[in-house]
Amino acid sequence: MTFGDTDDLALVSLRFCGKEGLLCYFTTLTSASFMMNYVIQPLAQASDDLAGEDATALLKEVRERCLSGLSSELSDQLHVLPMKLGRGYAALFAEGARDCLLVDVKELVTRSVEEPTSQNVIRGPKEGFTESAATNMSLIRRRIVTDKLRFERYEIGEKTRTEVYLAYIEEEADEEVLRQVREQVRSCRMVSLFDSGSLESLFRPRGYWLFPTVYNSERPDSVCSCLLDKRIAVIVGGSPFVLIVPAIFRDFFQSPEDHYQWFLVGLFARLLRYVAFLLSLVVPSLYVAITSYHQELIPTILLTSIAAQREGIPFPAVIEILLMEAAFEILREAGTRMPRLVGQAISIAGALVLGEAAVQAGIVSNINVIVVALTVISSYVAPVYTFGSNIRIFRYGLILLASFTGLYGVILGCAVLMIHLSRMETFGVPYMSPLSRMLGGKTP
Amino acid sequence: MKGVRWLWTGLTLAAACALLSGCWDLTEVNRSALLTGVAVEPGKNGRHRVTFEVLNAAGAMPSQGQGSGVPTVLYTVEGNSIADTASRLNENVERLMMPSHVRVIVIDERTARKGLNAFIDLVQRSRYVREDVLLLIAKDVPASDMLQVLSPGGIYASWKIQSQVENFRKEWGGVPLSRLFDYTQAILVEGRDLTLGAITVIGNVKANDKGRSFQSAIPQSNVKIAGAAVFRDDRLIGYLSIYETRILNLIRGELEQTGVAFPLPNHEGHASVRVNRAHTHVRVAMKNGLPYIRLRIEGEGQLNSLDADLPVHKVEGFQALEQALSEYMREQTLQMIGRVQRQYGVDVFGFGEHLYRHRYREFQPIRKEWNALFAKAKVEASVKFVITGSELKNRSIRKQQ
Repeated sequence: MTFGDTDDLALVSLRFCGKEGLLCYFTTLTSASFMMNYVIQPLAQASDDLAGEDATALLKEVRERCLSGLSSELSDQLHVLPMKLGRGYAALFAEGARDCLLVDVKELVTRSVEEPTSQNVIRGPKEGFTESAATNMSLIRRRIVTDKLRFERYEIGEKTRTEVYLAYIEEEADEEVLRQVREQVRSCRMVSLFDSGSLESLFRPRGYWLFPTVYNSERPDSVCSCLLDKRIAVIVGGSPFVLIVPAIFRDFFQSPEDHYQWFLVGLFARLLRYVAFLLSLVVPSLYVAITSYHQELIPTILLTSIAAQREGIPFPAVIEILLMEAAFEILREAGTRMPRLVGQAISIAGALVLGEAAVQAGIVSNINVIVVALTVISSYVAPVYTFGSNIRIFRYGLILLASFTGLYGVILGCAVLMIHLSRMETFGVPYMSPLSRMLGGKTP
Repeated sequence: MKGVRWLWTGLTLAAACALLSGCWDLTEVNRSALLTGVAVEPGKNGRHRVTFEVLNAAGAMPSQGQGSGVPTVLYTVEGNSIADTASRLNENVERLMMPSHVRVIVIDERTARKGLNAFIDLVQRSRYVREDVLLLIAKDVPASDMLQVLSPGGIYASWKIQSQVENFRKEWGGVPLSRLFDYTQAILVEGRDLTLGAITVIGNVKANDKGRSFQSAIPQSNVKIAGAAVFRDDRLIGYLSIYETRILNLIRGELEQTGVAFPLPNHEGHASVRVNRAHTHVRVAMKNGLPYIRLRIEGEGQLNSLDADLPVHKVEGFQALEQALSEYMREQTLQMIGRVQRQYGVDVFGFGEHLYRHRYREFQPIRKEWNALFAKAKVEASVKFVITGSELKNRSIRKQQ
């Protein structure tokens, strides 16, 4: 056998219908009670009157009479055996039979459906996707009751053989997009695939990698509304984040909650997110540009206040901002990775030492702390976490530009981003649509 | 691979930009100081003596609690021109100057009598000085005294002056619009002469030296608004009181609101009216070679106080008050115009401008001698003020019993 002497391979010899048999399976992919109740017991109780016949015919008989509730197949190809066993099948060999009977006995411990952790809503369904692709498909299927809903199965990863499902609604989803997605998934060569995040780069348009073009969600309601909106979902086994293509700029500012509330509240929240996006992008660079080059733009009293606070600060405004931003980035990274138990210690060190004490020690000014805090908080307003974290990178670019060219640099940087955004296309859809619709592009 | 090359190109370009630009015009806020006010007066040997008010940011923001001390520091430089003194400011001051936040430019009356153009030119050329900086004339006292008046609470002199002038103009109309923009307009426009706000100081400025102004509830010295300064071209020729300035604003249509106290008939004391709206229709025509000016002044207000027991719960009472008010305003207006005609002989009202706009052909031949003609002009005024209410009471409370 190719499995060597791995400990979890069970080789159970048993006697059924008067013949010697061998049952082999992985104990780690099923449970003992399941095997006992649904496989071994029916086999042992099988009446002996089946005996005496041809062994292959016997296996067929056993499959139909004893194991009819389980999905099973007869196979004489031994080379598929290792793969089947790895998928949670049990193989039953019978004395004198050329074929073996493969029975699906997979029973895995999975996380139950819980509330999503990274995309919260106050009002709306609280179910979130789990790591099990089957559960995820079931969450979608139970929401969209139509005979047109399709799941297509693929496998990605030489070693992991991760199951990947394309979900779409036939006749709704764009055939051309569907063809491209299929092609990408089929031609994908990877050694391993553990999360849908690694798959995102597949669907990225060539040469445009600054902004995400794949939406991800761990909320079934959000995915279902996208499916009904003629898009395609990619479910990756082992990942609670379901990908949705094609995604445009607008999608990253929408939360499913917008539709569950009074429309004005939803509209307001959406506008707020755009404003917060702009704030988190340009506030620190505007601060640097204006206080170092364009003091005449600030009202006198505000400038007096800024000047009074910056009195005695040893660093130029750029260094000050970069210091605080870096400190915050480290805090944020530490906050995400650290064990939950030490969380309080970090927040005390962060809030007190870096914020309050730095101001009192005269290393940074109050207004600088306000600018950085506003920026950081604004960047978390985006409903999709990855989008907010992308902006951070541009923010540093803009701060640097602002530090040596002032407002011209900020405007230049924003113009470059704008040009990039309006040139982007994902699966034939302009990224900035519907804003750029007048140029002849189609909208999803 | 392509992405990596792109990244390197980008980084190289960014580094080149950063290194080549060298931040040549970078000004750190904490290494520079704001220039907030300028006072110009004559110096020795015909030179200019310019006082600069430089903000000490920590002192001007006492709530920050970091620094203390005076909000502003005054530096005086003498030089052949204002530009000369301004460029030599670092002779005395340790920080870079940011001239973009100048609020007030105070001009000594001795300088103003010689003409303003020479140094307004500097102010107009500079891209840093804003169009809404206040130009004021210091009446009776040296201009630099204005900037020496301190008030508690971190309010420095130029801030105080600006806010005081602005509020007084809006609330009462006792000072004309006096921004750099208004100066430019008045100089360029045909048939109107320049007026600027005039301020003076009461009390003893030198008392501030010992910081006593902060300890006492009664200010040792204070800036007071003196009305308007009247110019012929760009030379100062005299002043108008705040009451006359109010009429000037009324005729120009720039009076936002005011309070008028007028005598009641039969010497029964005074009544006062808060005027919320006032407007003047001007008609200027040439008759027999002289301008004939007709004014129709209309206004609306609320009765504030009333000394006598007039029946203001009836229409007749209001009508009597309206008539008294209108008559009083008519007298004031005619008197004021008459004084300007006789004493200064310059058209500060813009009657010539009106003629220029409405009857250009008639104005064109007389534009050179307009001020002389204005001095001889016949003026008529009809005034109609309406009193729309008497606030919470009608008749005075003691009479109601």
